[in-house]
Amino acid sequence: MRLTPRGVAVLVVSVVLVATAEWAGYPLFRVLGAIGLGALPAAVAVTARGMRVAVTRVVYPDRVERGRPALAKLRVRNLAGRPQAGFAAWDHAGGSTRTVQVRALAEGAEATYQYELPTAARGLMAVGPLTLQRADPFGLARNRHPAGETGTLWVHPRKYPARALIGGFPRHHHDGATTDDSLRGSLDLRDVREYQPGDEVRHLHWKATARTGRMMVRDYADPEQPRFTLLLDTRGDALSPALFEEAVDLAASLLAASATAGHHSRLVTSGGVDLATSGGLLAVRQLLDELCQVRQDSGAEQALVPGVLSAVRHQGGCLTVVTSGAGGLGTLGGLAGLRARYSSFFVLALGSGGVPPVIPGARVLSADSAANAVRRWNEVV
Amino acid sequence: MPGRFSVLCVVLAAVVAGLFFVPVFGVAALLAPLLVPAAVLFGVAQLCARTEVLAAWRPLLLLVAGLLAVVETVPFPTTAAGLPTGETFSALASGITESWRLTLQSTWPARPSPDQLLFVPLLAWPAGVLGIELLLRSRKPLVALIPSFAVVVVSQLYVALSGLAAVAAGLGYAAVVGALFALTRPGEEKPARRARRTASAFSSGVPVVVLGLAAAVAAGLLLPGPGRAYSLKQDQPAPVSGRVAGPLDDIANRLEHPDVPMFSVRGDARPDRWPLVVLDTFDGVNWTPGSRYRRLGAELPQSPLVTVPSRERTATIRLGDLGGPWLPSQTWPAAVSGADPLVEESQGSLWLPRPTGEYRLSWWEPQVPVADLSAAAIDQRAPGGLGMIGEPPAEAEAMARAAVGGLRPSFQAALTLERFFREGYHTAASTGLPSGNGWPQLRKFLFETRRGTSEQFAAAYVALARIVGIPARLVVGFRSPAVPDAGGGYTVRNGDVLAWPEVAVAGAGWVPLDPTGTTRLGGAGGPAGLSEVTAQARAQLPPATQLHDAPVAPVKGPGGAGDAGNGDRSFPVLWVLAGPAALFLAGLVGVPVAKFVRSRRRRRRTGAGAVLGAWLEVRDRLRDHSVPWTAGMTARDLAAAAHGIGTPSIVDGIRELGVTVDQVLWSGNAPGAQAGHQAWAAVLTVQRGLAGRGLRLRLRAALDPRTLLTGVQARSSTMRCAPTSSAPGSMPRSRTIAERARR
Repeated sequence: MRLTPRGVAVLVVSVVLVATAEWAGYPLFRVLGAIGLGALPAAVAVTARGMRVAVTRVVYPDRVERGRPALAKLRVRNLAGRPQAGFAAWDHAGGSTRTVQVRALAEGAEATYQYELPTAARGLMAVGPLTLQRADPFGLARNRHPAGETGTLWVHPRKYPARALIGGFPRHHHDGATTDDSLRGSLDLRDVREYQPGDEVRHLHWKATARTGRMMVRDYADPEQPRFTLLLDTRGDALSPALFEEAVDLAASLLAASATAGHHSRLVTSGGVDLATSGGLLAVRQLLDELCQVRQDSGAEQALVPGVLSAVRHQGGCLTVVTSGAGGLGTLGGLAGLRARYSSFFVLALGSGGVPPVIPGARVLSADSAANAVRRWNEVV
Repeated sequence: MPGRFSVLCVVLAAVVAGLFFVPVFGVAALLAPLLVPAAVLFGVAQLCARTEVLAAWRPLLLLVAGLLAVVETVPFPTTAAGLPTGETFSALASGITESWRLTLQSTWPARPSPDQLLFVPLLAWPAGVLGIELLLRSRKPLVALIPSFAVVVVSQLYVALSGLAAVAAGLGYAAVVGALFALTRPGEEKPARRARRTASAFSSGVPVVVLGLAAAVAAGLLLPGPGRAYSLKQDQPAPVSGRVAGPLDDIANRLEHPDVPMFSVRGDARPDRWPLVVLDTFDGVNWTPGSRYRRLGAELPQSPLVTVPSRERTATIRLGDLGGPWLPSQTWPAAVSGADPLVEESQGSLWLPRPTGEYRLSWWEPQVPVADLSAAAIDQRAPGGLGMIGEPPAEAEAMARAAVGGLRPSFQAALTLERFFREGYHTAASTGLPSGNGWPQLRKFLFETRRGTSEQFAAAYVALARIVGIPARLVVGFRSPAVPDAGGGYTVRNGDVLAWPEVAVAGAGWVPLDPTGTTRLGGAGGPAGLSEVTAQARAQLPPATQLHDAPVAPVKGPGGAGDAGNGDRSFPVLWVLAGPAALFLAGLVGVPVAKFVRSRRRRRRTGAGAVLGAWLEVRDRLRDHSVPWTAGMTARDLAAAAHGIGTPSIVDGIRELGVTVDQVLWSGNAPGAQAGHQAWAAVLTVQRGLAGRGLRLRLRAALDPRTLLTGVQARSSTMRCAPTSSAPGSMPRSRTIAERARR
């Protein structure tokens, strides 16, 4: 319960008017000042009455792709033991504010209001709390207090339909490292172990069974597990903010496609984020949530390749680097050293301005936006 | 974006501010010059809002269109068929530089001539344009009101409104401001939302409006007024140029050429004399007239010195050889048409250096009964009445005291002094006329020659009257001739010149006396007004031996008439509080009484009406106890709603009543004689149940006026009740109990 800036202005003007009137003797100014000074307490009194309402909130859906619609639904219930006059309410969603005009509520009545949430920007958006406001018709005083809980809306980056690339990871083999590419779909014997109920009967290893006197089965594994690693360039000076959003969209498109296909997908950023997943829908959500929160780093002179990738033990599969095309060989040079450890190596250069950088051993795709980059990816893969 | 109604409010604020000049020019003169430009400004603003091409040119268009509208209203005579000419522009230029000053130099209400009026629309027009631009650019209504408020300030520096006018003006301006505030509430950025605002949203503004109104009335009418406000007018007398000979010194000269015609008069009144100029300052050598002249406005109000009723008289005066600069006038001039003179407001003298032709003069003539005048006191407050008299000779004071016979200052004393001159002195005849009016000449006149013209008579009278404390002043003018002209009017000549004293009488103002005894009452054939009454009072004056002072009136203590004059009223706290207190008491007693009466009337009905009345009674009693009620509720619904507010007998009572209601209204049989009794017995059950709810709740229920307010409405319209126990579909649900009862 307090005066609005307009109410304060009216108060000051009224006091000045009354003082002037008393000092200089102008009755009209006293009348005008008195009207102001009379109206202000009335406005404060009108708005003083509290608003006893319960507000529950549902944000649907709670995860949404950037630019897709999302709704906030408010249920306002009158808790006061009498009908309540209507009032205005403000709901904060991200940086924006939405006005909700709550109509008069009968005793114990409930009303539902919903409005569209702004989903133009990627990120975690806190929705609420609802700020109830009761103002007098002249806007002199208002009474506002927060009500209800807050909700969270995950605005994910945009996904474009992309193909998943299968890049194998040579597992440990009894005979040492494989020298040639194994046939697709082949099975590699990993172990011979005792039969357990549920094992495939066709995989019984009869020789071993006979030798040990117990039921033994062969334990097969895929010789090359598909693996997809994406390095996202989050250095502060590499990409402009707009282009960084495109880079995140591109990363989301490729990672989601890969994880949906069940491949092991891993997100690495130059800022140090390292999220390894084993594929599947849950992994898609994990990756997108991570991408939802990823921000450009502020530190200067950062290396593009983080420590986790520089370590020799990480290897195999496909490595895709989403970065800026403007860097030149000086900053992208560190990538060439990674080539040996991965079966396929892509560099997606965004906004290179037509001249793709040359990186030894890498396939460089350059594009000006995420949509074009995905289109070129789909052509190449 | 502020809507068109906000723009209208800003324009209206400028108009209202301009209307605060009403005391200066009158309403009629201001309406067109303010409303026409305002309408044009609003129209242009609307046009610019709808036409994108014009939007960038809006300030220029507003300025030009508003100025054109001003031109078409005020200085229209200078235009050629509405098109501005060079003369129009020079009129506008003088309107900006001069008209405000000319208006300040005038008496108010001023003449609404373009050269004086022009500055008001020229103030309101830029205020409107600036206001619109500030509103549309800054979107802050308070900022947009600054220009119009500046006009308000200027208007108050001209003339400070007070009393009822101030309240009305303040409320008018506040209404426009309030409308603008309501239209541009903070946080109302969406126009679509505004349309949805219902009446209930505005009902919360009612207390604001009421309290603002009450505060305005209290500040403007109930509280004692603030001190005297400064007005620009008080420092702006009209400049008077030219040196003139002393009017007194002319008298001897005029008397030597008696036949030169000065002016002729024609009209419904025949005053016995025509004052030219009033001299109220005497330094012992010279008599000087007042010098604070103003332009004569449309009309002069009646003087506050005159409290008796006055009549307005008119006469047409054709000037002959009278050179000026003073015009024949009257003590209280009201208006002059046909000439544009200056006027000395406190003295009534008209000043026009080069008069020509004729003019029409109207004046106020006080109507005093003879008896009142004889017994009248003198008016000590009269301006200039007790001015200085230089250094009188030592024997003058003794002579003055002896002349009034030791009376206290009163009108009777003034008449006694007049008689002293009439009886002891005589007027000089045709040759060797004495002249001079300083103390040396007066001393010679008073103590030696005892012979003089009206100049010495009047000057000596004023000097002696002031010595004994009678406020007096000297007037030079002409008396009316004895013989009228052939055509009906009369011509005043040089020989009619006369100087006479006037004394200030409480209530009647300045009363002319005639120590020479040479005026001719009714000589010109008409009523002579105040002079005639004075003559009658003179005739009734008792002989000098029987003169005595009137008994002294009892001294009035504080709070008497003496205090009433300075507006120092005490605040009527009792009266202000009496209203709310009476309302409170009326509510305290009236609401339960009204409910009792309503209950009795319901009980007195017969047949189905009694059952219906019982139902209404139960409903209203439960509503008083805050049981939620809606128009479609059946007795069963009501019983459910009332469950838990008190003892179970309430619910039982309602159920019993429901059964009776159903039987009476829905069974189709005629209601038995017992139905009414049963229904009211159920009411009694409910009442007993409610009685157990505790004193506080019952008191609140008894004093709750809401069922009284909505009872009429609910009974006549939408109270619908379905049968409580009949099978679904057997009766249409939407038939009301009232409807059913009528069958």
